[in-house]
Amino acid sequence: MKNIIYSIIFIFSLLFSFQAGANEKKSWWLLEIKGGKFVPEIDSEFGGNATPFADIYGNDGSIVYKSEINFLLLDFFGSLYAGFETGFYFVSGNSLDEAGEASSDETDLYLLPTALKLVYRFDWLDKKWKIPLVPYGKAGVNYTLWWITQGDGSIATWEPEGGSKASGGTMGYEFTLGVSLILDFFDQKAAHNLEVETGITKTCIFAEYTWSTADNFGSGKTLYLSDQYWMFGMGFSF
Amino acid sequence: MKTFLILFSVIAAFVFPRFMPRARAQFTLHGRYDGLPGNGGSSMDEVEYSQHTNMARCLCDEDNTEDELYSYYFAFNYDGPFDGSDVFFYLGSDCSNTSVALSQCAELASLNINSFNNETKYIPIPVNYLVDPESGTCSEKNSGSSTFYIFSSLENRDTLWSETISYDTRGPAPRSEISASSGENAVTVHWNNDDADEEGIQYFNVLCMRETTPAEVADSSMANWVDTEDVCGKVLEYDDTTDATKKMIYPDNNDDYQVNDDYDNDRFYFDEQEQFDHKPNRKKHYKNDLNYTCPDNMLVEGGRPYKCYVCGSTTNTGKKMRIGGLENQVEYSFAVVAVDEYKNVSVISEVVSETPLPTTDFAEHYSSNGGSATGDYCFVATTVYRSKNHPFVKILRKFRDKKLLTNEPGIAFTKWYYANGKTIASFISSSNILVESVKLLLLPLVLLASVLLFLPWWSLFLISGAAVAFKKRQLIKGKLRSIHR
Repeated sequence: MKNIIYSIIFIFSLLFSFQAGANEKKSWWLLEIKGGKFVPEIDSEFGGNATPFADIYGNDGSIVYKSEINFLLLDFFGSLYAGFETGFYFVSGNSLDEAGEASSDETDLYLLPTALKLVYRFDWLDKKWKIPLVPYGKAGVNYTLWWITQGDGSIATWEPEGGSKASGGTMGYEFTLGVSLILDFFDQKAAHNLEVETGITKTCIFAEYTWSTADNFGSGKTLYLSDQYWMFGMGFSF
Repeated sequence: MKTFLILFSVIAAFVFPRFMPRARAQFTLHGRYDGLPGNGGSSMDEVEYSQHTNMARCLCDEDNTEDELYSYYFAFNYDGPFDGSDVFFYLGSDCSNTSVALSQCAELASLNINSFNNETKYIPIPVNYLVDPESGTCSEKNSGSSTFYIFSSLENRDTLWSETISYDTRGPAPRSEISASSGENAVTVHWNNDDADEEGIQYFNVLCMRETTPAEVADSSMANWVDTEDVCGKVLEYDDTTDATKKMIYPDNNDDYQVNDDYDNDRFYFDEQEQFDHKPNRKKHYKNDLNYTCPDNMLVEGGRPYKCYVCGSTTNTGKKMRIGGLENQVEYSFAVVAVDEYKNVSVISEVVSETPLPTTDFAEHYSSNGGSATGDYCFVATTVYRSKNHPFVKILRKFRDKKLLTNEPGIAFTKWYYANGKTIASFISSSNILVESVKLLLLPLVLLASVLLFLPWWSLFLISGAAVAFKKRQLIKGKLRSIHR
């Protein structure tokens, strides 16, 4: 009970602290929309002895699309955000026939990645010197829902004769480094108009590289969805 | 004076009406009917109306030796003077032009205007005369039209009312480049779909046959075209060429197809209500009497498609379709037909054969290679994640025991949850989408529970205090800056 009361105090204190600074012109939210090529390292589980993912989907993977919303927690030498990210990933292949060749049946892998993270943006350069580059780093935990479909579009089973459904969730953690380029710098008049009309205070493009480890913290019994990959996108502060 | 007034009244009664403007004769289309209401006909909506002018309806009149007159009806009301004159109902192209011979138009009816007094009149529109007003020969024509006229005078072709009626009696072109590839208990059929818009195609139907009979998954309810048997109870057969010379056949077991109604063979001419009423509602009549059975071995290129062979239907953007529910190691035959917006159907495409075979999907391939995934989820709602021992389940269970069950509100919530949880879980498990959504929604709760469980209480207090202090400092700084300015 004591902890719950303290938690409530904590939440209210945070809200109060945000309110206290609300009279300053500040962008509390940052929305990112991004995409990048993603190849889940499912085959890493087999240590090179088998490549079931590559056999069916090849080595090219597919594009993962994500959106991330950040909320400003602290604004000091840079900005600290809390972020929630969700996305969608889909890769399609063909089931194998008895000769190991692709049949007409499609078998698809769907991922629904989510993540909670802390984001630090070193925007001091922008604030102090108007240099429109903001390096940043992110760290967080992720949880990815996944499911595999068979030829008729239903969720596949692990065994040919049936058995449990091939769907589940994989937990993990991830780190990201990136840099964003603030576009307002190049056309300040347009940026001002955008702010007046929509409330968007800053617009940026960014590139980031993520090291994601998603294997239920090594406990196994799940699809290994780790990967290291680039993502590119646009961000909007408001 | 009295005599003068009487004389004036008599003269006025004869003369004045000639100078007074006559009330305008006005016909109002009350509705379009698929049969006479007295014989069970009903009003048609736009879609039914457009479908009524399709090829099947037209072909009911083909080989018209028994004077088969399949029609729908325009129902008219009249508002105007009942002066005993005649009005004439015609169908054709440019019939209001006096230089066009009336023989090029179909005379549908001629009625005395007085017969409209407080009465709705139903004028038959025979589909074969719509297509060919001169001789009433049904043929395949794409996107044609004729005009329906009401004339007050045949000499001057004074038109009281007219409406253009569109028709489409040609089915889409048969599909080409048909191929089939095998799957597990399924075959995927591919076809060319470059001209779907051009041909006005609305659907594709895939037909399938096992040996000589429709495949086990075939079901006529998946077909969506209109056949002559739907309309007039006759079975239409195509030659084995795609040019489709057609002939009508009558079911052996139905003598009712010998029609003895007394019609004029050359024209429809109904000038008395009694004659309208004679016209039978053949659609209903034949449909009920037709003991139709699915014929064998009818999947023939260029032949007539039978609905009982339809194994699947897809929209006009489709280029392929997977037919499931088949038996592995058994050969099946497949073909495709196209259906246009008026429910006309093409002839059968090239027929291809394929044999379903077992396949290995990704889950099976992963598993057979020794993959360890079992598909568990990490969450408490056991119904959702189907595992009591998952770490998330453990976290939430621990949260329940350590946090919720240590205080009154928590105990009350837990009691409520155990009273209603099963009902909620049952509801959630009824839908895969719901299950996946709940999984996502519960994730933040698990993370919050983790924080509350594993972070010491004083750290929360510390963070709260630091945040408040930091913000206050910023506020003071801001105020100082504004004072300095």
